[in-house]
Amino acid sequence: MSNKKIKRRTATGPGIPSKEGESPEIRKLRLERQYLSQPFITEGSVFCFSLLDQIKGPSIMVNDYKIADLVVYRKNGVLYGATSGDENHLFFMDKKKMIVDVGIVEAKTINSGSMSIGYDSMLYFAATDADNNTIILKHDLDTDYTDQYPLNYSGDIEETGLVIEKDMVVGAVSNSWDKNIYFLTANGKIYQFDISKKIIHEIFELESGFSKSICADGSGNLFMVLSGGILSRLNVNDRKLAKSTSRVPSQKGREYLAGAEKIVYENGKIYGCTSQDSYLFSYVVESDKVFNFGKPDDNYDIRSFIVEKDGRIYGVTSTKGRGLGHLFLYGENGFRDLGNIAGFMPLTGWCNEPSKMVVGNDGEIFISDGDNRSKLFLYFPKI
Amino acid sequence: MDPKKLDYFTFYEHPENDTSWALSMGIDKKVYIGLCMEFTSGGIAQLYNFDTEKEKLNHLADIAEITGDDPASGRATQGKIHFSLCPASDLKMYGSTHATTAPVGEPFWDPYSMLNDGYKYFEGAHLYYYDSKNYDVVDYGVIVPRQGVPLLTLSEGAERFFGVTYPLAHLFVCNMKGRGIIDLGKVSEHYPISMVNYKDKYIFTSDSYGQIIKVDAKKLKVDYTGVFLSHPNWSDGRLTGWMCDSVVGPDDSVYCCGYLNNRLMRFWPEGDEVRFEDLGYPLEEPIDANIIRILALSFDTNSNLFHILATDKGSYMMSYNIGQGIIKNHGLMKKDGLNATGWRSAIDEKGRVYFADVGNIPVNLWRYDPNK
Repeated sequence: MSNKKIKRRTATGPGIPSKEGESPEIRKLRLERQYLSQPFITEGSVFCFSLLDQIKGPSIMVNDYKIADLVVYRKNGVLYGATSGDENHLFFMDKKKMIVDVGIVEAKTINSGSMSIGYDSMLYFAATDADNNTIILKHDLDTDYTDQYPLNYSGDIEETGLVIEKDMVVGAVSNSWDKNIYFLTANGKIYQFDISKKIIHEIFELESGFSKSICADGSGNLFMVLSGGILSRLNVNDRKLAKSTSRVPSQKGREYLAGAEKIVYENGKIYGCTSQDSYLFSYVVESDKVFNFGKPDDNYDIRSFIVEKDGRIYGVTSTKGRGLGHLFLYGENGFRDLGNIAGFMPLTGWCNEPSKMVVGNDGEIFISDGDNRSKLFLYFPKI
Repeated sequence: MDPKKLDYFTFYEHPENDTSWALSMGIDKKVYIGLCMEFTSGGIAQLYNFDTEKEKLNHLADIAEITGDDPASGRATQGKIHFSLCPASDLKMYGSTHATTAPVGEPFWDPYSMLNDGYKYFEGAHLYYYDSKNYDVVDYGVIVPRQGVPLLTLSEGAERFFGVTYPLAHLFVCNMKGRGIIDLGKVSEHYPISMVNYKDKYIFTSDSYGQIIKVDAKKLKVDYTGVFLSHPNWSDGRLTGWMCDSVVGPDDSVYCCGYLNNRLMRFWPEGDEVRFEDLGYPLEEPIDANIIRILALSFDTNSNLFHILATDKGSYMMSYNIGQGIIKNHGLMKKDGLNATGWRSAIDEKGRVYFADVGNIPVNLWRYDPNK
């Protein structure tokens, strides 16, 4: 056994307090910078849910967690979601925050899933299988359900028999003007799904380089973002496309990359966020002007956002490959970094790759994690 | 236990280093040890080996020096080498760096909140090797930015490393020079802590629920087998069935243990399936202690699976003979007022079991000699 005397290795011991040649003023500035960093703990309350807790089999396994889309049924405030793992489930979260597995979507492998709620209280779900064919499925949202024990749910996923061949739906929107649902596909085609006649047909084809987001204004117009960030409006009645002179914001010299990750229509304005350069912006349709709100933090992407009834905007940012996105608020005082999305009840979990975000009827915000084995987060903003 | 059977060698050169997790037997018959400094902000990990003939600890590398990651930078420091020492047949010992040490001046390191912090982030896990032929240490640079790599396994047949990141728990592969990284996605809620190379054909690990994950080492197909390790009745398996250590036995089964579990288990591939067997804990004689967990699995040449049994009374050295199916108690390990325990172990040609401290500061390398 060694009897060597204890000695310190000063050259490699714990952190050296100051750098060589550093003046006290510079050192003070450096240490201040260290403490001027991002907030660690989420401001507000975050609850983290696993999709494992099922009341109706088959259970959603841990490797089927990748949440493809979220929507809220406004009639009762229930959240619906779809997963895209080895098995593809449709689920909902009831008012007691129990996750209920509706069932498995019968497609081989789902690459994406876009959901929209029709005026007939049906949830329509476009699922693309491994052969790149998209099938349209539906689920009756008024299926009887009681959250009293014994828990029981008899809802089912039905096929509509409608197929979009060799194309993948990347966005879906319900248009209240004609009560139809419109699908945007990866090949740039816009399909009109006539709910009453149960038919689907192509109405327009966009030029290449468009963003995978679509919204509707409720008066017969669909909005998309074309290559170079050009905002455009398609009138579904005369099927004419009008291009705006305004563009989605981008950093100087990166205009060719400009695109929108998500756009939503609210009271005569389109709110949007960019997937590169992480800008939040609004577009006033009447004046054809874009207002750039700026960047929430140092992440590269704004993954999603929601607009609350009071006009405040909550969003999530992240950077590809970096993980652990941040939540932000845009309000009267500009941006506010609300920290990591860290939930400690009923499960402990962090949102690694925030992807989808929807607002509930009471102002609560649902956030999905887009990583493998992701979780569902419920966020109550700080009042 | 007769104290003569137990020896310890203290890391006097680095008395402030506080834990040791990684321990591996090199092809050069030396025991390699990663010495961590987790509890002191700005701490630095050190790489050592132990010459089993000369009975001498040799300091090989200061991880801050070889990575060039200045501990005074204000970022989380290169303070840890976790379960990542991989011996290679060309007499090199590969390893990756890990992070749990707080940036200088901070009381603790929060892996989640500091990951994206502009100043306190961890630079990233480095891949390095120590070449015992020319006593050289080579750093390949950061292989995973901002995260640590707590678990690394080498498949020389597939010519690649399999690693796990922390805190995001992504499984990745890279070539022997830390390049060509392929992210295989998030495989567990909490990061896997045990991974084993099964004949260069499969890599086995488990998620934090104890589900066995089988990865084809060449095709890189990740298979969530649906086979779960046993867990206590009071738990759903989360962080209890979590595979804690694993080793391939002479019967071509993988022997393993759970994080909070008192059972030995084994599994083996059979076609596309994975067969699992819970061996229980068949003690030769009952033990007067509450079992917490089983640690540090290593086989000797007589098919004895040596392991450490951590209990409320201290740690016992145990061995399970896979032919007889009986567990022998070699005794409670205490010497000079020190409790001996460890998370990984290695056995030399003379059948002596080596493990390193998690609990004593300064850290000791322990040696249990069953033949004394």
